[in-house]
Amino acid sequence: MHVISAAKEGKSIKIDTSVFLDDFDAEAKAHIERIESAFLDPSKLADDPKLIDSAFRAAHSLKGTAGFFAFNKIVSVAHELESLFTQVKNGAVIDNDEMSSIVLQSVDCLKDLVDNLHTDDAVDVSDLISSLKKYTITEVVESILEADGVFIPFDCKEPNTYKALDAASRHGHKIFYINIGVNRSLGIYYKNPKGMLDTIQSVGHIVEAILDGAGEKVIRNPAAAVLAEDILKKLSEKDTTTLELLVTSILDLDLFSIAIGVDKRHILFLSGKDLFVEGAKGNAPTDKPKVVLPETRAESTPAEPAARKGNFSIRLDMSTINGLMDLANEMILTRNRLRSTLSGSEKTIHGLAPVLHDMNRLTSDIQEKVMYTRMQPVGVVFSKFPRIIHDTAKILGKPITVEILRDDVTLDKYLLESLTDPITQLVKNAADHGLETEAERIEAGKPPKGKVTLDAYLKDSSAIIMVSDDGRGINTESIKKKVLEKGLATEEALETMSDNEIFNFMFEPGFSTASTVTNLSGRGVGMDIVKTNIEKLGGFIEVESKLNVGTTIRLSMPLTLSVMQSLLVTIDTIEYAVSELCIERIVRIGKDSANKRIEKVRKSLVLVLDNSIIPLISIDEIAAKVKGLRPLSGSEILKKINKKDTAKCIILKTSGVRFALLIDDALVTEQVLVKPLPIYLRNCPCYSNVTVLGNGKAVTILDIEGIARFMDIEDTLKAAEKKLLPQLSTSDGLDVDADAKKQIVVIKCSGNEYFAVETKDISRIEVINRADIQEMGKWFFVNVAGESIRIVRPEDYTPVKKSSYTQEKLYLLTLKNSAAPLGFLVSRVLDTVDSVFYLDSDQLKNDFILGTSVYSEKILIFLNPTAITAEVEAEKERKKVVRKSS
Amino acid sequence: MQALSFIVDGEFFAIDVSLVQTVVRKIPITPVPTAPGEIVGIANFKGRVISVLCLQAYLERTDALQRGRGFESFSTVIFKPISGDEDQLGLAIDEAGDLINIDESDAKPYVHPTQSKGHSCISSIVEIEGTLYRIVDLHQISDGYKTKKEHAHSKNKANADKEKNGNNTENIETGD
Repeated sequence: MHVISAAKEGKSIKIDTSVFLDDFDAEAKAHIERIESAFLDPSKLADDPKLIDSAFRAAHSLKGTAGFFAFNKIVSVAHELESLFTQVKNGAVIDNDEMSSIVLQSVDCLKDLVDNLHTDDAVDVSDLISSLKKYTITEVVESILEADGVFIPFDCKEPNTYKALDAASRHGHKIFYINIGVNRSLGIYYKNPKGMLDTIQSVGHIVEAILDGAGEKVIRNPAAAVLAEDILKKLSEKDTTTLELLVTSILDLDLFSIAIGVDKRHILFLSGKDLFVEGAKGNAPTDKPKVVLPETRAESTPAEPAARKGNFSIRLDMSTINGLMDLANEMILTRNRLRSTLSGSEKTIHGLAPVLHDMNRLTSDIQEKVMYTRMQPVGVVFSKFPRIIHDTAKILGKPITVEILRDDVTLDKYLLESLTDPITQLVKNAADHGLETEAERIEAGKPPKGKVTLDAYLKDSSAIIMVSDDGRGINTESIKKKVLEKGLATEEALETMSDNEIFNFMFEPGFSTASTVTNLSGRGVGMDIVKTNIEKLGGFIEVESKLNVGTTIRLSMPLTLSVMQSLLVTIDTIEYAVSELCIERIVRIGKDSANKRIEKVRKSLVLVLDNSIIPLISIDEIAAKVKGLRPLSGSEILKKINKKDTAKCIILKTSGVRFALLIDDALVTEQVLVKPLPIYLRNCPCYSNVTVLGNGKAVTILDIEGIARFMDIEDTLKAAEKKLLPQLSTSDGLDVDADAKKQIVVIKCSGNEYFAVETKDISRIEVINRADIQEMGKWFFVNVAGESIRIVRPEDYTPVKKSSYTQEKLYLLTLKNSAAPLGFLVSRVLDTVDSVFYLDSDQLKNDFILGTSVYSEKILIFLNPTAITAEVEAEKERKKVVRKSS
Repeated sequence: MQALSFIVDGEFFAIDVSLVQTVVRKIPITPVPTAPGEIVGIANFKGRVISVLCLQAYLERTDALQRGRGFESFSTVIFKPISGDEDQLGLAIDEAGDLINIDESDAKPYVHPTQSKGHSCISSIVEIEGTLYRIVDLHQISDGYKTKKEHAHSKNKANADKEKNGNNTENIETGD
């Protein structure tokens, strides 16, 4: 209670409230947003009384908390809003549009005040308050009191009393009426009324007191100190049986009751508003019959406390969470060490295995939970847009509605913050360029109100954020015209491009097809910034558009920045992590590979792969450049490569640049926890972050874009193209390996791995229910159209983690060329791809795998259906043999 | 001042022991080839990534990796984070010695004959029982990696915090 007493008049207690100030900031903003959201669409106000209720509660709570901190301007604005909402709640008819505009104005003012808590002198609220006051018709609202069937024996309209109550309610205090039997109802203060009075005064003020019924002994607003004494004196003078008090306090009824140790039944919460408005009118008190406080009052306590329970949260410092994350990681490493130390003893020490198993699970769970503490729902960002659209619509003069479909996907806090600007840009674009004017829409036979839809959902291991409009769509012709105008591509090139490729020109810097530049958008700087920002965060952007139907822009973001799927590579025996998002493919260059070779251009190397030229870079080269040493010449590197029979490199791409990095070996893919680069490594251009691997090793994460920039990739590429392109076009290099050309189906099983099966091996894809799977001994079958098909899980034949399927709907890829019907059980069918795949058989070695290949940033494991079918048949034979022998 | 003495390349050094978190032996270090020459690499210490620096290479502005030493076989002094969440530094040393008490009045200013930049991290030199210890100023080293802005920021931070708290208290007093 000591905290609350700080706000008490006349007593200033030094409490460091800075801790609470942060909370206030967050809480106040939440309240303000609630008011804002209720008034964004004035037309809904009439239909939905809950909106006003929620706005009212928000204004009320805001007034209360601001009052505690004595932010008087916020209190006064919130107070006026509260009055206004009360009017509306009670049926006062106010033009909704007019009201919403003044409310939004107040909301802006409140935001301003909250942002500048200590420098609010500059903000003038008097105009706003007077315009708000215009709407608050002072009207006697006695109905509430009477409805409760309670009469308050105090004369609230008596000037002094009124003044005290008014002042208190303006500071967010609540007014309570206490009616107790002095000896019966004192609770913890039994026989100690002074104790109770002291407590009341520590959490509020006693405004008036009545002893033993009406009129007998009224003690009216004396100075605080005198009051308690007076009451006590009177109490001792005569055997008083009842004590009635009019009290104001900052606390809620529940808390107040607990604080003063008096049962809730004896306390009545009076809406400060009612008393205060009554008083303002200066009505003469009417005669009311005295009604004893009914004992059933407890049920009708205000709903306020319940509403508060909903958003219980604490604020934590980011460094605390990061510290926790470090600890969780260390725990995992320690667990791994423990496991390897004890690995031989699992059988000899009884009960060890289950303990290790439990610990395994616990540590992983803890790590995951800690990671999720950084996550916040997308709704945090989305909730800003209705307001932005509301304002935008006003400026543009078109009616626009916003629809938010899903907003509960959670993303890393940092990621979310960085996404706010790009999404805002997209939403503004949609409103400004995407949607037609009202007249145009009516002409096109569309509803006059344009719609911008926001959606967020999870797909694979990324979060998809979608901004779409039902507007005019993107006109590919006008983009083409602009492309030609700017000389970005030739007419012939454009002819062969797909719509998607043409849309991509929108992301070129300075590209805008808008004929007019508005103050919202149209300068063409927006989209390329959106794209670079999204890519910087490890995501990518997709555009889909149909003329006159609308445009959809999808942002595909990694779920969290702190965890990244990466490939570990070794270069000169040193390990590095590379983000899987940047990897196009892994290439092995043999001495006599036909379609790939290394060429020397000036001092650099380039990889010529399937007729495309890719600059080739080695870490040695970068190191030499960093340290200002004599750069290794291309021939030296070439010599180094030639020492080995084959060279390996990964082809990396990021925001348009593409280059190959020489590596010794690609090891495994691992989910790594991304940590900031230590300041001591800051001036190295090739690292973006560091991480600690599962084996406890600290490694750096390569910064693909940084390397490209540092090594002047573009320059090398230009020089190489000049030298090599003529050769390439003359040689008949177009003969792509016929074997390498494959049509595949990309599938996902129970784990996170991507598998690929060639379509030539598949007869059909069946949708099955998990419940329909029948177990027969060790094998599983499912009946499809009267045929029972043996189910095979690809995980059982490949070195990947096996987990169980959770979803009901599964897929079955039935195979051709099997003796008995046989199908792969698959959780999802992602894509069919027709492309050239060079399979790398070094990464994963197994009889049932043809090899791996990288396609659109994913590593695909190519299954060998023939080998798996053969193995299944062999298993059958073996089983038969066993049966015979037993 | 209590200092931890240590040997690098046969020479004796000492550093304020209150800055030291621990000394570990044979911590696996991952080299970072494109980092500044004096950085040996990075290591995982209790889930945190520590940058390990070779003092000799720092002093002489040479390349730690090219010195061709197997740093895995040496000890590393790991320092506490200097303030809050800051990156931790480790110093690759040959061998940690005893704790020594240094009377600061005995310390003499140290000027390296070549006046090279690297040697500015040696704040003074002190002779104890016939052995000369060079006293390393850790802040001098770590400040060299900070940008000017950060440097000013870390200095001002303490002051700013004080001011902020002061303001808040005042507000409550005058309020209501």
